Amino acid sequence: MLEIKPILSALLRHKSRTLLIILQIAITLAVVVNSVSIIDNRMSMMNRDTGLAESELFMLNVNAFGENYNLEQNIRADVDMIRNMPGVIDAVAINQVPLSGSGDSFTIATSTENFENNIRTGVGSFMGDSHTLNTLGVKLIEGRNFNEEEVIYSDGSIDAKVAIITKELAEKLFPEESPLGKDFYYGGGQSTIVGIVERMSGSWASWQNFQMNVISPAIRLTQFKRILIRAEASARNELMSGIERKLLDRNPERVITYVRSMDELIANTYRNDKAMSLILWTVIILLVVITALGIVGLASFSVNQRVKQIGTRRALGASKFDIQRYFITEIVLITVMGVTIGSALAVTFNIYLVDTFSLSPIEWHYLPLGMLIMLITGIVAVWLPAKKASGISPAVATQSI
Amino acid sequence: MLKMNNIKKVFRTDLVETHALRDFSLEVSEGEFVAVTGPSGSGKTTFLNITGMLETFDGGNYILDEQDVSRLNDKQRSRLRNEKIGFIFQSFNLIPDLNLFDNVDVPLRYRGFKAKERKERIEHALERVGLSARLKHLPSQLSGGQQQRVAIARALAGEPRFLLADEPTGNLDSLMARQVMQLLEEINQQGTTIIMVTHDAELARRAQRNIHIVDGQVSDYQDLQPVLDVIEA
Amino acid sequence: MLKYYLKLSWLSIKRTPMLTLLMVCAIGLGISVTMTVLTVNYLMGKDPIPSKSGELFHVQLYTYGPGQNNAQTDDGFPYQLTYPDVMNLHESDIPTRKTRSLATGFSVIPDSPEQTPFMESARAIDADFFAMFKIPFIFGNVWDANVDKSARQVVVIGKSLNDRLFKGENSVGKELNLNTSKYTIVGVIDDWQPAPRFYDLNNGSFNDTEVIFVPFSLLPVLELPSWGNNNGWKTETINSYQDKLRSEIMWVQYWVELNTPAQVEEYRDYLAAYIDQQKQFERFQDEKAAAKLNNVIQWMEYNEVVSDDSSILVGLSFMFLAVCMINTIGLLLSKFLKRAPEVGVRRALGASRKEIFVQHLVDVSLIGLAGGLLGLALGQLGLLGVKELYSSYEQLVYMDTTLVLIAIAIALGSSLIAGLYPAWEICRTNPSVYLKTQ
Repeated sequence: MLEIKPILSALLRHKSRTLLIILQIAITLAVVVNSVSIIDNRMSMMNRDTGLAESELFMLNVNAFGENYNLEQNIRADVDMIRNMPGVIDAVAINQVPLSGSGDSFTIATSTENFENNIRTGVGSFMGDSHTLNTLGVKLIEGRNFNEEEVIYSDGSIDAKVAIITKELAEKLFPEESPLGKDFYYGGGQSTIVGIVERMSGSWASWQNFQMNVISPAIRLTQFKRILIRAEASARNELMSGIERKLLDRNPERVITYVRSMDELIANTYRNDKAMSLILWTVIILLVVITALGIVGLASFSVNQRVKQIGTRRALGASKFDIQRYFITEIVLITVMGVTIGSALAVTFNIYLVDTFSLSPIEWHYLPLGMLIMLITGIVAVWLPAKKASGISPAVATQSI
Repeated sequence: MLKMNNIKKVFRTDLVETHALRDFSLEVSEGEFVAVTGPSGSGKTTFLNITGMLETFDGGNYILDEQDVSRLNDKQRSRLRNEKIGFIFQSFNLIPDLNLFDNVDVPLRYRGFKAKERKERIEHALERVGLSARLKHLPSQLSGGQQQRVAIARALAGEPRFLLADEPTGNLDSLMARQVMQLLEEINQQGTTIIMVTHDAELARRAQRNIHIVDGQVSDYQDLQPVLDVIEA
Repeated sequence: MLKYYLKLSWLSIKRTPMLTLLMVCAIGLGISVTMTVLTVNYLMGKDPIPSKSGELFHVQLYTYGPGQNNAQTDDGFPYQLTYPDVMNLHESDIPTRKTRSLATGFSVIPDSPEQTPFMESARAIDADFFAMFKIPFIFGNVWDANVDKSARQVVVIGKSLNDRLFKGENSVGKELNLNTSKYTIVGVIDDWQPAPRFYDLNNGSFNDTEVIFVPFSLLPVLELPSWGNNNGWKTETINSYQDKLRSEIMWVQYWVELNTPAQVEEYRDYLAAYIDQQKQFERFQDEKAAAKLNNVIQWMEYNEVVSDDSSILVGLSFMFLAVCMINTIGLLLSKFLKRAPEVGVRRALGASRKEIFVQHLVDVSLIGLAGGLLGLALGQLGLLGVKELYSSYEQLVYMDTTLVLIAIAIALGSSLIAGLYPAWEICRTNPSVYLKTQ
């Protein structure tokens, strides 16, 4: 016998207090559901497979200032020296480093008509020599790597004849067919696709086309040059601390800056998302605790108001468990009302967030999950007061005021 | 000074209608000491609350000092209560964490008196009940009888038109009860009107006039003195 | 009466210390979360140069060819300008002050061979830059105006660089070796760190300011590289720096100072006329071609300096505060209920409902004030946490007077709102119920 009706009418007599708890539960549900949704989104973004050999990679910048600094000669010499260092797997003088937040992009199309009519795809533009794939650690799944003869060294416009693209880009450009041997067009030229890599991240983590990238066989000769190095994970730290000295020993007419591991770059990229997740977790936990305390308060008040009634019930034959069940049923009813309103609130709030901040809408399973959490919170919170209530002696019934 | 005509008070719930007072009339002149008696459930409490303007009534009229109080709003009634009535309760109802001075001070604060005037009135009132030496003490440090005397001082400090006492000796032993009654008689002799509600016939006898309520109506309207004279003679 | 009510509130607090403490903690928690979030949000969007923010304007030009728009902005305008446009615009004498701007960098080669060369970010600008943005000099002054026309290798450096290289002494007249070329120091500016770096929101809104400033006119002479964004829509062959200078690549910025509305109008007309004139060179061919002026605050909003995350957190924190306040209402009801007998006595002795109501609101105000102070203290912890989490928010984690006042106002205001219902409930109670009459 669930005694729902008498519980409801008892609650109606203390409308204001009941309403306060219902409101708390409702708002908490709305906040928790939306916060969990945001956290989930950020986590899945951070956990994306980059396709790179993250624990083995590090980068550095070379800023040449010498009067008679031969860019090509020095770049080649630097990269050769690094490749021969113990612990280094490979290295490349690359134009942009994935997940660094700084990079190059351009737009391509599958035909010149498409290009003219602005039917294009924005892609990351990576340029390096034939060691690029091995340095990055990306997996070639179709076609071939570049050979050294194809690599263009230039300080001006570069028009590479061939390119390797990522699978995601291949599927976008040529969904039905194999892209090998096909051309893509860009302002000022075209390239033939000779290879596909399974997956590779670009530089801007929040960009939609983050994993649509083109790798061209070219080395841009600029005073500011990036070098990406892949080393055995155990050797990386030592290499990072010694490399500036070695490079300056070879040629002191430059400044070596920003020696950073890929792990650091990734941490930087996602620092704000991590922070947001942490803050949201804090808010969620605090909110649930406060609401739970509010429920404890209401339940204690409820018990104190009804000491005589409880004693009488016990005198009339109710067991301790019956009394506990009464209060647990009471809180379940309140929670059900609270989460009903809370769900409406959660969805409304979510619609607002999606509209104003282009967040993703909540997935359907968050609501029942949230409701369950609130229910468990309510039952746990009411446990002690319910226990206290069941301890009220039946002798109370015969006491006079 | 105080006139109640055909007062009617009905309590309604969903199922039951209770006539707490029906056709109740009373007149009290200045300087009188009136005791209102009756068995429990007779309507004494309702009479008390209505006289003290703590509750409204459903029929009849209540005229205090030529003023009809039935039309007044809460603010006006509170003002009147503050200025004209001095309450004395069975359970003293002193505020436990205020000292005696501050307790007597309470009604004066709502009167708007300045600090100097309040001080004078409080000291005078406490002196009148014989407790001026214990100004700074808390109620918990006093006996029951002393607490009631403080309550009386509180009631007197504002120079009310009448004291309204609810079973003033109900929580006191016989010695203290006698002291309090003596004090009330003194105060009455000095000119203050007193209306006292009690179910103790002994107590009622100390008043000049007795009114007996049964089932919400006045049943006896007696001036006891001639009866007592006859009995004692 | 207020003093009396305060005294009564104090007595009431002493009587129910635990309950009062719970309430102060609930309010304090809510306020601390709200204030931490509000502080960051407020400081992000705070006017960095209030005396002049309405008079400094950033110029945008829609230079795209028809259908060639690749901008990420809402209105399609690109963030930066082309070199030819900036050179042309600089001819106009309508603005009171004007400056071209490019983010660049140098290798600094110290005099003594023991010190290794290091990189520093720099900015190529015109002389007006310092007066426009109210940057104070501690030594020397900016270069003469005609350097902006005929370039000389002069430089203004920042205090931190001056301290590092010249031990903080007056280095005016000394030489600085940048990229193996010598520059004469003409001035040293004081530490200057506006937050955000409103004069260049394209390259990190909260990054450090530069410490090296060279004349923009040196661009073609030294072929200074761009450390900022380069955006090109047109298919052009760029084989040399000269090619880049002539191209439609958008990589430089332009700020003007217009002090009166009349001046602004005049400049807008000038820009419109400029676009028309450029059309004869086959530029500005899109029908949407136009110019746009944004003052500092508008430019900050346009660049969405206040992050979405921060705005979302503001909304969430207010909901959090609401839950804390709702909790407080329940606690207040309990606290006031305990005092109902005393209220009954007071009513009997002549207190009107209004007087009881006000007495309890005073009670609530005291609690709200205490909660606000606790919230401010906890908020400092929150800000420390934010500083740890977000490396670039160093300038955004302190509370100025405005924020402290806001905190107190929110604490008092929300407490009073929360207290309205309990105070109303208690003043409505029937006194006779509590008087134990008969």
